[in-house]
Amino acid sequence: MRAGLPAGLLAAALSAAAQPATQDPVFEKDVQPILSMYCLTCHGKSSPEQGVDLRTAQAVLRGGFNGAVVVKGDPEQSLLYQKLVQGKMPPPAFKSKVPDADVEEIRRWIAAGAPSEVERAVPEEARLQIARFEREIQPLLRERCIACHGGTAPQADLDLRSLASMLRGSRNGPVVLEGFSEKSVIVRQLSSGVMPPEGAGESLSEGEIELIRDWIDGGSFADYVDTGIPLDRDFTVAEAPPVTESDRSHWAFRPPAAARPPKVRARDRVRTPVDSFVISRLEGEGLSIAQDASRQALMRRAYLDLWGVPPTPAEAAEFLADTRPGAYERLIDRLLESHRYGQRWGRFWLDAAGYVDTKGKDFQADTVSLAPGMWRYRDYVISAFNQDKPWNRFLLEQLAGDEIHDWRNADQYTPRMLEGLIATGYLRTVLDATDEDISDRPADRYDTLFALIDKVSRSSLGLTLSCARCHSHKFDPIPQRDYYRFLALLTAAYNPSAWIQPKHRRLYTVSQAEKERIDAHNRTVDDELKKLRARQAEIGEPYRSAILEGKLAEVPEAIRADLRDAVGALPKDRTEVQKYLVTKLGPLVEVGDAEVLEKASAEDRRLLEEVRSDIATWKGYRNEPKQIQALWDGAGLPTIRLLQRGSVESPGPAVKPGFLSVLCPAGDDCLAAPSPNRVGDTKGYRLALAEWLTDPEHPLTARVVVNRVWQHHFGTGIVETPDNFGSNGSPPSHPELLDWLAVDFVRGGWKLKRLHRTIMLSSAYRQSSRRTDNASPERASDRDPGNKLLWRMPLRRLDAEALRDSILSVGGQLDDSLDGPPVALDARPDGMQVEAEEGANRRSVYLTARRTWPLTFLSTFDFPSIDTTCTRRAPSSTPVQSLSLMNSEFVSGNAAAAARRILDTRAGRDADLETLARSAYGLVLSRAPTDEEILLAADHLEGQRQLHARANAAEADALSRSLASLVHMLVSSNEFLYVD
Amino acid sequence: MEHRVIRRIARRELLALTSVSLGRIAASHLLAETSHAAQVPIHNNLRARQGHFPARAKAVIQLVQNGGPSQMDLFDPKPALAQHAGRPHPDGVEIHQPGNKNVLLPSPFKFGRHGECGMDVSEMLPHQAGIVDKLCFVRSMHTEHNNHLEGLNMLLTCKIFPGRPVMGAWISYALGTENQNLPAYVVLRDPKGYTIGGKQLWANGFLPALYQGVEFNMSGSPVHHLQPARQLPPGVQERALNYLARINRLHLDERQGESELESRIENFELAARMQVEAMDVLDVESESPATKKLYGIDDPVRGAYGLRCLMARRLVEAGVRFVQVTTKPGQPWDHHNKLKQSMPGIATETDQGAAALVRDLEQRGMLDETIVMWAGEFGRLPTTQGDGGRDHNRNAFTIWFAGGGFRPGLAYGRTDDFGYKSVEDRVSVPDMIATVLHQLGLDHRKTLYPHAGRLETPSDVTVTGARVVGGLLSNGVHTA
Repeated sequence: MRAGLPAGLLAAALSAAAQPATQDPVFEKDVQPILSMYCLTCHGKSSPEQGVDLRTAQAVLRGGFNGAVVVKGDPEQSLLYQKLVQGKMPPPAFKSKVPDADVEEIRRWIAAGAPSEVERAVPEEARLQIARFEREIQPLLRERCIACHGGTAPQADLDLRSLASMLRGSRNGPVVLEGFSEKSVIVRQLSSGVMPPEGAGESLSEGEIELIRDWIDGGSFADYVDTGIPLDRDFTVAEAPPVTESDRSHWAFRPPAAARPPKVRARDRVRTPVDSFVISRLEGEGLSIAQDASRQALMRRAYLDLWGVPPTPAEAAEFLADTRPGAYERLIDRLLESHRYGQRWGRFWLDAAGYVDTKGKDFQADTVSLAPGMWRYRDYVISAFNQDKPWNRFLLEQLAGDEIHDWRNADQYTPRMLEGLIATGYLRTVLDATDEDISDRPADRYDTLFALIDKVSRSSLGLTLSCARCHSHKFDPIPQRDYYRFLALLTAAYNPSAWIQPKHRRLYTVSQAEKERIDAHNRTVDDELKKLRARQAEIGEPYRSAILEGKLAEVPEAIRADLRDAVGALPKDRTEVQKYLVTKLGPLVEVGDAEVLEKASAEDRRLLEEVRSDIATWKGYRNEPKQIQALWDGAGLPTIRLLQRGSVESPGPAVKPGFLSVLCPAGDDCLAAPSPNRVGDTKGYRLALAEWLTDPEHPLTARVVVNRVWQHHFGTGIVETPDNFGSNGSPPSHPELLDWLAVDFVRGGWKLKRLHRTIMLSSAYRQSSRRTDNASPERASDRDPGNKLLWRMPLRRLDAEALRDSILSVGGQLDDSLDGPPVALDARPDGMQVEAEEGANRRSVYLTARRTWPLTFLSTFDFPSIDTTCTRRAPSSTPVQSLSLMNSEFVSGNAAAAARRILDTRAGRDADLETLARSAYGLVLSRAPTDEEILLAADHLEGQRQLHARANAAEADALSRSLASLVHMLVSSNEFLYVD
Repeated sequence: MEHRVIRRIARRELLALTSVSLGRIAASHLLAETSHAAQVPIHNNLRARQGHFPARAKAVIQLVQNGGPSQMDLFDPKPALAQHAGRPHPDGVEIHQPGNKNVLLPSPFKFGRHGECGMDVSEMLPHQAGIVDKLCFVRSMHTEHNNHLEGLNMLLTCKIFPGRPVMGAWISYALGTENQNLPAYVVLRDPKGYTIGGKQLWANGFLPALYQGVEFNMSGSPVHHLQPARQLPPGVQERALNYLARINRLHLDERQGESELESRIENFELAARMQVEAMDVLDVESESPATKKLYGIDDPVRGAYGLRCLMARRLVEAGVRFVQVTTKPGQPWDHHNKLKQSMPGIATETDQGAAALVRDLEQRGMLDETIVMWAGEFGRLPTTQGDGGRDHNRNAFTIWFAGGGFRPGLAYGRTDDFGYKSVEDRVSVPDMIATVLHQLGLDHRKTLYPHAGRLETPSDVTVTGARVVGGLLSNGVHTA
């Protein structure tokens, strides 16, 4: 039996309970059985919780990550005893409590100086394991590994010459995790063939690796080897490699500098500075931009880009009729002024913010649990876009909106206070699965922090920091220490040592003071209601019991008395049998208020009605405070440690809150100080982060934003990887343009609408998407097949929301109202998520955003399942999409509605086929059909009409259905689905 | 467009897979870099493609057993539990939920030795006991998390967090599929609802959406929107689709070279063919009475699962690459309480269908080329929870394979005397994934997809150190 179970221990465990505790307790006899029963599930594995291992006296006395748990002779100073006597351990969630007698036994044991029978003795099994290492493993390591991992300067600081030196690990952390070969880096490296490296000798054989696995899995050695590593050591070189000037020279780590827009040959095409950069780059390759798109194509492009819905025929006609100069500029202004702009562009940021309305993992199709009031953050975002809130302010509010107002002491929130709090919802949309007590452990808490870092860094900083969670970043100069410094900026609010579960992280739309007033008011109301209900019961009681007796008379006599007792008892006092009776027969003898009223005397009836009306009135006086999802700092600041290999089980040296060294000047320690601008009882580290991020000189923030806006206009960013501006991301296709835009953006007050104008008024944006509209398409295709240099406008597929909203718009059913709780989704038994009836036609941004179960139509068209953030969606093309377009009720319903719209207009039912075809084209595609298209459409209409007529449809019906089919096919066509 | 190169993964990343360095290579010129960098081909279609070496199997049927089936009550008998019944486990065990007692609990079920190989199977699974000589048991599985959702994520993606592609998605991505009129990856679930994890069990993660599992419904229309929502007279839809094709062609004529537009036109054609073929493949009426009886599809208890197993065979027969069959809603193998009373239900419902599938595939000569896999997300503890139940145990569980080159009649690996931990020939979930891919002709280390600045693999080999478990295979491990 190789898997533990030393025979002696078993015997001790089995016999211990019988020993009377007459003298001083001894660990093995008296204490171990108690700990084994209640504690070892968490504090008994190879990587025990908080480092506290309670399996042996030696381990208990060694203590955990935060120090000793037993002080010999002093139970009051001993954490082990304190946790037990205060009932804090085992955690309440485990619903098991150590009996008082056992706690007392442990107190006596500590008071007696914590005696043990086998002090410092090495058990037999450990001796065998250590001997086995020396006999079987060590020769192998000597022969194959120590040429590099030995001597005075072992590779990666990993010295494999002795058991102790191997257990010390490498500069990156432990390489052996006792009992878990598959988690031991040494095994991973050997079995995946990474080690020994090529040229450094043959790989180990399966058998040899198996030997090592087997030894590690056997366990029982780590506790008996003194590796001599203190917890508070310095950072190793691997944890904090120096960041050099050459590291800082990467383009994205230097502040952007605006170059003068270059001179170009095609000066007539330069409308904004954007064109100078784009055309110059093209001319450098002997290419040019394409001619302008038609006004119709440009109009549709602008509507779909800024609003996410096509123009109505009237809007299209108005624009096309406006032939005065500046018509296009006026169109852009009009589109930017509409609230539809915020509904469209707010959604892009919600992707980056990883927005969901739900809390927890959201893994069940038919059960939605909403984070109350989360939607206010969505409305905040949409409104920020519509107001054109400066981006630096927008970011600052989202990171630290709670740190710029003294909301804690406010008698009433000002609108800006409330807005600031709601804005921090940005930091609340990450998955925090700690609501269940069982999953509220250090590792789970850190998972939330890790997800948060991933989101903030990818969405706002344009860097993928997450690699540095386990080891210094392999491609970018981001030391692992910096990752934990950055993480420490957020831990005054998300404090892993004093965690607040999401269900308890509550603030309201009203201030604390006001909340208290409301609660007091509600208590008064409830008292009154209680009195009224008592009075109601009192008046009704005689009638109620009379009616009940009447009903009881109809049930069999054998159970009559029992049933009477059962319904008479309070629900919580009912026995199992009574519960059964009530469930089965309760409805038969239920007495309704209406029956009582009917039976009552005229006087009592009047009284009862009076009371009922009073109850309704008083209920109306209740005031329900509305919850929001915000983040704020708690009282304490935890010690944050670097986690070796990203595991809470292997803490390293402590870190202070700070930024990324590579973005600080050489010589600067790059630590964060609490922002002096903080207001109220808050730590100010998030505000410091926000101020650092929105510094006009920050090399990344503005570049990341302008790149993202560019991406949404052109399909691909100037940097193709919006979340990764590091050395492993794509280099910018137009570096000078990116910098010019970033600098101009900051100079112009971080205003997005201004940026849209700069981009959309350019010839680069206005050019045609057709190859044939470029002067030399062959040459361009040859030199730049991916169109990175923009020798034509890229063709883009509508994203999920724009597609759904556009179809609703064509059907004339789109509800574009602002704000409010999310539209519910219904989970159908066939697995589809569909809109609930109420609000079914609202814009997609207002549908419940579920982490894993979004509206099926949207997810079919690549709406993301939110992991942490989505900075770019990958448009796919699948047969399931085709089926949804062909057959879904959503598309056919809207097509039918569109057909009715056409037929109900003045042209009416008498219109000829050509007129109908023109109307359909105008409604769906915002243009007039060509002659050929008219012929095809008319033929289609006529053919469909005949088929429907043959199937005995009434004539008007046949026409309406064939027109619906025409609209349906136009909506399903590539022209509708792709923005030209 | 057979291969679309969407990312130039620089040579340095490939190098970095084998070395640790903080150095960087200066970003090179945009156009020049495209031609110099190492290229990872990205497939964005379902056409059948070759693996890295000759495949032993071409399809997989994955029977997912949600809840954590108890190894010591099904496949891995532990007499020591009876000997020490009622005594504490000496080291303590890692528990998950309230109500645990550190007291050893013997299995309430009888075990027998079956087949020529003499494999132990409990009385819970008489049908599977009858085919043990065709099965390859792995008794030494272990995993990382004791929560169902994390355990299922792990089993299917080799990571406990959501966001990674499941095995079926990776395989569809790497190999495409043989029948272009059906999806590559089909999921057959209980029409009454989803098991815990829902769609996460067939998520494409960071792979293109094309590779996610497509749910087939068991009655009515097998795929969402397979038939028009509104009844149409004969000929109406055909005519409409012809019209659509014509206007799409006109649109394309003015935009020559836009391959995405072409592929969408193809997708409409595929969707139309799917309408016919998907209905056919799920029509089990053509099956012989003997086959229906084999799967027990007329049995009120066993029929529902049997039908899904039968459908799985028909789908693989029609050329589908990967079929995933789930049990019933919730987590049916999750016996925290009253194991003796509660396990027979799910065991009876699923035993016959699973065994029939293996027999049927063999009779049709398909078993050689099809991997059947029966697995839950973790095992259970040797100690008592509640009234005669067992809590979750990530340290040991048993799964089985059939066909596809897995050695029949084998019981691989060993757990300790109480069945708490795998101790001999331990197989991790990433190892298991690497091994299944190997039988399909795929090297898990070379099945690559670039994501968030990293080259991802199905087994995340650089982190997990996954290896192909040669001991499970009759064909051994391919060496290039």
